[in-house]
Formats: sequence, structure tokens, C-alpha cells
Amino acid sequence: MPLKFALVGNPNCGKTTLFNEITGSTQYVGNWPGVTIEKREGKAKKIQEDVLIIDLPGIYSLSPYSMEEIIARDYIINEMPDVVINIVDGTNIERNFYLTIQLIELGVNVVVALNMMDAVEAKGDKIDLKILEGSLKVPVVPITASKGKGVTELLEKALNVAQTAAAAGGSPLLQEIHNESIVASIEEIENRIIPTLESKVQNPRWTSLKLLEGDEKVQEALKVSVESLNQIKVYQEDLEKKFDMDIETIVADSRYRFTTDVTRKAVKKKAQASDLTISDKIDKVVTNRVLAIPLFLAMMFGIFSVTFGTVGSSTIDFVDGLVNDTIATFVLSLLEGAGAAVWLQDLIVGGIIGGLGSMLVFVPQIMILFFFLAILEDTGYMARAAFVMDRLLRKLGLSGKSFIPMLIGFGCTVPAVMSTRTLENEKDRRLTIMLVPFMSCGARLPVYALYTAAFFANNQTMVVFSLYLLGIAVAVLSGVFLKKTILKGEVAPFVMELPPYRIPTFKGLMIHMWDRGKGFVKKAGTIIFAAAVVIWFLQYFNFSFQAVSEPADSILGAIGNAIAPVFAPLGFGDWQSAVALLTGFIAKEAVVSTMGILHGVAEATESSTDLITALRTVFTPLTAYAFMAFSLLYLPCMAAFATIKREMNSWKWTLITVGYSTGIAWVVAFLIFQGGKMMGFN
Amino acid sequence: MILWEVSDLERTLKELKTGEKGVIIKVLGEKGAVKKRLMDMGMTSGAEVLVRKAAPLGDPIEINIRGYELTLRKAEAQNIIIK
Amino acid sequence: MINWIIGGIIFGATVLIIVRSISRMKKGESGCCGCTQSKCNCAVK
Ligand SMILES: Nc1nc2c(ncn2[C@@H]2O[C@H](COP(=O)(O)OP(=O)(O)OP(=O)(O)O)[C@@H](O)[C@H]2O)c(=O)[nH]1
Ligand SMILES: [Mg+2]
Repeated sequence: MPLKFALVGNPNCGKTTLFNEITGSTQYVGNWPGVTIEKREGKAKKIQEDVLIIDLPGIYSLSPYSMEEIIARDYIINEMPDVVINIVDGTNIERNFYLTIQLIELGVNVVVALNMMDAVEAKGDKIDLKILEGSLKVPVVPITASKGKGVTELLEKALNVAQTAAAAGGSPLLQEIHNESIVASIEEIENRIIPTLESKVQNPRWTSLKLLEGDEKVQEALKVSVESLNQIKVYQEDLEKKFDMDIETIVADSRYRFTTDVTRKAVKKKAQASDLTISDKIDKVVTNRVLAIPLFLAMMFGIFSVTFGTVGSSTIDFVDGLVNDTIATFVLSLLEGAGAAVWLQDLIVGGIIGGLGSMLVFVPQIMILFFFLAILEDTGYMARAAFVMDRLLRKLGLSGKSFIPMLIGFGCTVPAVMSTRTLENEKDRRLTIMLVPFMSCGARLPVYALYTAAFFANNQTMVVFSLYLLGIAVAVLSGVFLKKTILKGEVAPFVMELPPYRIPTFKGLMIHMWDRGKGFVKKAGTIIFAAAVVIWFLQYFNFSFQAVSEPADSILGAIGNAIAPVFAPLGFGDWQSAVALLTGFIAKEAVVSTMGILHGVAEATESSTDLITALRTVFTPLTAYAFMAFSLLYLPCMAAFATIKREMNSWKWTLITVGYSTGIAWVVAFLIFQGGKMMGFN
Repeated sequence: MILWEVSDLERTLKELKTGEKGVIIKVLGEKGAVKKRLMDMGMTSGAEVLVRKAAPLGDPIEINIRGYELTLRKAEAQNIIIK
Repeated sequence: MINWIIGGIIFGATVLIIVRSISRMKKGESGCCGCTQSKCNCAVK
């Protein structure tokens, strides 16, 4: 059986960075607290021995609040890893040790990895490792996870500990951490109450401490009887009277007193708290009273103008020419040469190349968008955005923390919905999950790119930006509405750490961008491919499986014609649009690939600019805008749907979310089309 | 019920202005998740706090405590007694 | 002949992809947003 090393530490201390370094994987790293929300395992690659590394969500203490924190704590306590590698942010030892102490109290094998040593050095701080090891009585290894420094030494130490030590049963350090009266009460509970418990207690010392603290999870797990609880209460009240504080405060105070003491002895800081760091200086601008919100909007605008500007569109033209002219013509001549039947030529060139090609042209744009989003995530801006927006979000009954999932939602709805796990309150989570799909994700970009190229060639950026704002506006109004109706509740608290700004590494950014490009292509090669083949099939044959000459007579045409009237009041009542929107459920990009097949089939060998020409005969700028708005807001894609179902853990709420968004999409598109018509646009 | 009489020397964290420093004496309020979280984040007696700034719309505030930056709302800051 | 070979491969692949994504969905893994590993917390097992 492999040894198990668990990576435990405060949020944002570099656990996943270390995990990636040891296992060679590329898990999600970002500079804000709460990136990792699930347990992740990987084999250690750097050493001979068979070791399994477990990456966990960050926790501030062993008394968790939000879902992802509970995962971490339960893992440590129930699965009993051979070694707990406690990662400590070297620039923030005092608070990080609060968790370290609790791990030591628990009596598991702890090895402390003092991370971010590069940042410590850059700041000019001095840390005395001897004093740290002496006070904590566990090994302390300095590392720089992001550069892979010290990692081998860390693993060797951990192996050493795993093979020699046989800890458990609480650490002698408890006496040193807590003051006499607390220790006395712990001993009382250990001697008098623990033996009377029905369940067998693995770690009496720690359990006593937890019972004294009033930890409900431990009480439940051990099924502590009411009488025992009453006995414990006596000890608690004694202490509470003595210190004139409640019991949780007493214990927390006592732990912090110890960490402060250790830190004071071992760490020599060069800078004072009131000295301005680089982060503070950047913050002076980014969170400035006047500038903060305009800056946020300007930044988003900047991102979209680059994505849709010269860089974006010139790469599009290049890829478009490559896929739809060169490759399509080449494949067609090959097929003709091999004597393939007309239907096969049509399937491959019109269905697959026409469908995938119209979508793949947008790979460069998607990569550019994700490059910028990665910068936002890696610099530390996410937490600042939460800080700036908290006040506004509170109007919706949410907290600034909900803004982080929303920003992630500009990339992809799936991880955004999952990241709501960091929200402490169930109602907030529900509401945030309902709003996240209105944030325009990367998969909607091809739809915008195609339609703006066809109808708004002169101000693509402005039009796309307006759609993003439309999504945000709908989310805000929905928030107000839902909070007043079906999701009434109290205002969520907002307590959050603001990490220092970091310069994103070039390598990190490239990995993110490349990963996204790869993922997009993979998606095109799988589900979009399958969708294209099915769509081609359905538009080629009629119900008696005979090839049709007019696609409108096909199976798909019949389906499309049946639902098209629903969209007629929105300005796009043709059967092709109806079908395209239907396939958008598979993946939003499929809207474009379906349009590519349905409008491009006749002249498949020509480039997708013909798709644009074809669209111009069906849409007007006004209906195109209504169509884009509808595509933005209506039901999320299948993957997002499945994630929402899993995270909401309720069919009712999932269906409410989907029904609500589709209803809103219809209303908004209706208002745009009818309103626009009344004002004389077309 | 008077939880705590604020004497002349004492204020709440909410009243501290940008750039002002103080030492935490006590965190008021009912036992519960928010209070526990504040303490886990280092808001215990004896900790020095420095108010960095307020957010653009006046709330929440950013403070420096135990060597890192923390943000919390004024509603929470009101429960923290400072000397 | 060639029609049926290539056609068979294409339709076979399509059916395979559909079956596989349905079974993934059933297992509770999000078919995900098309991302591979980083930037997405989708379960990759
Ligand atoms: N300067 C420096 N930065 C680091 C180091 N290790 C990690 N980082 C940065 O710290 C930030 C957080 O890293 P993560 O690995 O995502 O942290 P985590 O502990 O997994 O965070 P959660 O999953 O949110 O709990 C990222 O911006 C990393 O680039 C290091 O050794 N030095
Ligand atoms: Mg992580």
C-alpha cells in the first residue's frame, strides 16, 4: 500500500503549486483563497518510494464552515494520512501557525513546509528555523514551491517521519500551548468523561479538547449523551467565569498567544505593518475610491477589445482560410478521387468540416480571452474585486465573495458554479449559482464573433461589450428579484483575506492558455463532432430516411418548424435558428456549428464568409442582436446543467434555474426586438 | 443587556480611521460562525490592527492584522473593541 | 465500399462519443466545459 501524504494549510499558501510540483500535474492554481474545492490525489514523481500525495482545499482551522473546508478536515481526521505536510506561508507565519498548532494538538505526524521563501527573502525578513523546530517539536523545511526549491528535502523528511514516528495519542506540546487552567479542564474531561462514552475514542487528549471547545461535529460523531454534555458544561462555565470570555474565545486566544510568542522569537521582520508594500501601492489605484469601478469596467473593455481587435480578427481570418478553404478543398478533391458517394462528400465537407470549422476558427480568440482571465486570477485581482464589489452585492443580499464565481463565469460556467462552495451560506450559494450562468462564458464568444462580424463589423467590440453588460445587468436585477421572492434570507457576512499581488509567471499563463485551447479542440473533436454528424444526418434525410433536396423538408426541418413560432416574436422565426438554439444545449458553440451546417451546406467548399452572407439574408442587425442576447441568457449548456444539478443537489432548484434563465432570455430578446422595432431600428 | 461598556480609552474597530492603529481587547457578539471565523483569522485579544482603507463605497474595510491583509464589513468591525 | 468504411467510422465514432458522455454524466463527472485540468475543477478520474 502506498504511503499517503496530505497537503494541509491555509487557503492560498501554495498547496496546489506544491502538489503540481511533486506529481507533475497541472491543477488549478490561482492567487486568491478558495481555489481548490475538492480533494485531489496524485503519485509522487520525484522519489523512488510509492507515495500518494493528496491536495486538499485550504482551511484556517480545524473547525470548518464552508463545504470545501469540511472536505479537508474530514479527510485529515477520518482518513488518517501517514504524514500531514502542513504548508505554511512564510510571509504570514503567525496566522498560519494557528492551524499548525491544531494539527499538532491532533497528534498526527506533521512536517511543516515553510513555503514562499523567495518572497520572504525579497522582503528581507529573517526566519530562525532552529527556534521554530524547537518550539513546535516537528521538522520544518523551507521551500519555494513555485520554483521547486526544497521539495526533495521536504519529501525525504516526510518519508523519514512516516517510517520512524508512530505518533497518535496527542502531543505533549498541549501543555505548552494552552495555559494551566485549560489543560487542567482537558485532563478532567479526559479522565472523567471520555471513559464513560459509549464509542471508543482514538485520541482522548484531542477529543477532550474538542469537547471542551464545544465542537458540535465531535459531539455528534461520538454521540455524547446529554448528561456528559452537562458535565462538560460545568468545566466550560468555570473557565468562562474565570476569563470573562466565552469558551471558544478562550481557546482561540490561548492558541494565538502561543503562535505570537513563537513568531516573535523566530521571525525578524524588516518592514513595519504601516510601511507601504508594493501591494499597498497597487491597491491605492485598484481599490481607489473613485477609480476602482471605472477601472474594472475599463479592464473588461480592454480585454474584449484585444480579443476582438486586430489580434483576434487577423488570426480568425488566417484559421478560417486554412480550415474552410485549403483543407475543405483538399479533402473534397481527395474524396472525389477516391470515388466517394455524394452523401459522404456532403457529410465530411458540409457536415464535419463545415460544422467544426466554423467553430474552430475561434480557437485563437478563446485562447486570448483565457490568457487575460488567467492574468486576473494569478495577480490577486479577484479578491480585490470582491472587496470593491461587496457593497453593491450586498444590495442583492450577497457578499463580495459571490463576485469571484461570477468572474470565473466569464471563462466557463462549470468551474464557476463549483467555486460557489466557498460561500458559507446555503441560500447565498443557491442565488449565486442561479446568477452565474448570466455571466457570458467563453463558449458564447463564437456566437458573438460570428454575428458581430456579419452585422456590426465596424463596432464589434462595443456590441460584444454591451452583451457582457447586458448579462451583468440581468444578473443584478435577477438577484434583487429572487432575493425578494423565493430566496429570502439574511445578509451573508463578509470576512476575507486579501492576498498580496504576485506577478504571474509566463509559464503559468502559457499553461492556462494552452490548456484552454486544447480543451476547446478536444470538445470540438468529441461532442461538437457528434452533434455535427447528428445534425447533418437529420437535415439530410426525411422521416422515411430518404435524402431530401430541400433541408426544410428533412427531419430537422420539421422539428425546427415546429418550435420556430416560439421565437417568431423575438425576430428569428426561421427553422434553422430554432434548431441551432436547440443544439446550443449540447454546448453553446454548437449554435455556430449548426448554423454552419444549415446555411453552408449548399456551398460547402467555400469559406465561412459565405455563412456570413447567408446569415445576412435571414437576419437584420436588430434580430441578430436579439438572437445574441437570447443565446447569452437562455438555458446553460449540458455540462453546466449537470454541474448545477450536482451542486444544488435538487431537481427542483435546477429546473427553477433553467426555467428562469430561459424565461428571462425570451423576455429580454422580446423587448429588444419589439422595442427596437418601435424605435425604428431594424 | 449591556454587553460591554465602552470606556473613554476604548473604541470599536469601526470607529478607527484610515491609518489608525489599535490593539484588540475583545470580540463581542453571540457565539457563532461569524465570531469563530473572526477569531480563526486572528482577531483575538492582544492583536494589533491597522486600518488600511475603506472600499470605494465606504464599506467593507481593509485592515492589517498579524502581518496580513484582511477585509471585513463595518457591521462586523463594530463588534470588535479596540484600545 | 469506401463509402461504407468511412461512413461507418464516422457514425461509429459518433455513437461512441454519445454513449461515453452519457455514461460520464451518469457517474456524476461533469463532462465539463472542454477544459482539461487546470482552470477547471472538473473531476478528472
Ligand atoms: N512567490 C511565491 N509564490 C507562490 C509560491 N507557491 C505558490 N505561490 C503562489 O501562491 C498562490 C496560491 O497558490 P495555490 O497553489 O493556488 O495555493 P493553494 O494553497 O492551493 O490555495 P487554495 O487552493 O485556495 O487553498 C499562487 O498565485 C501561486 O503562484 C512560492 O513558493 N513563492
Ligand atoms: Mg489549491
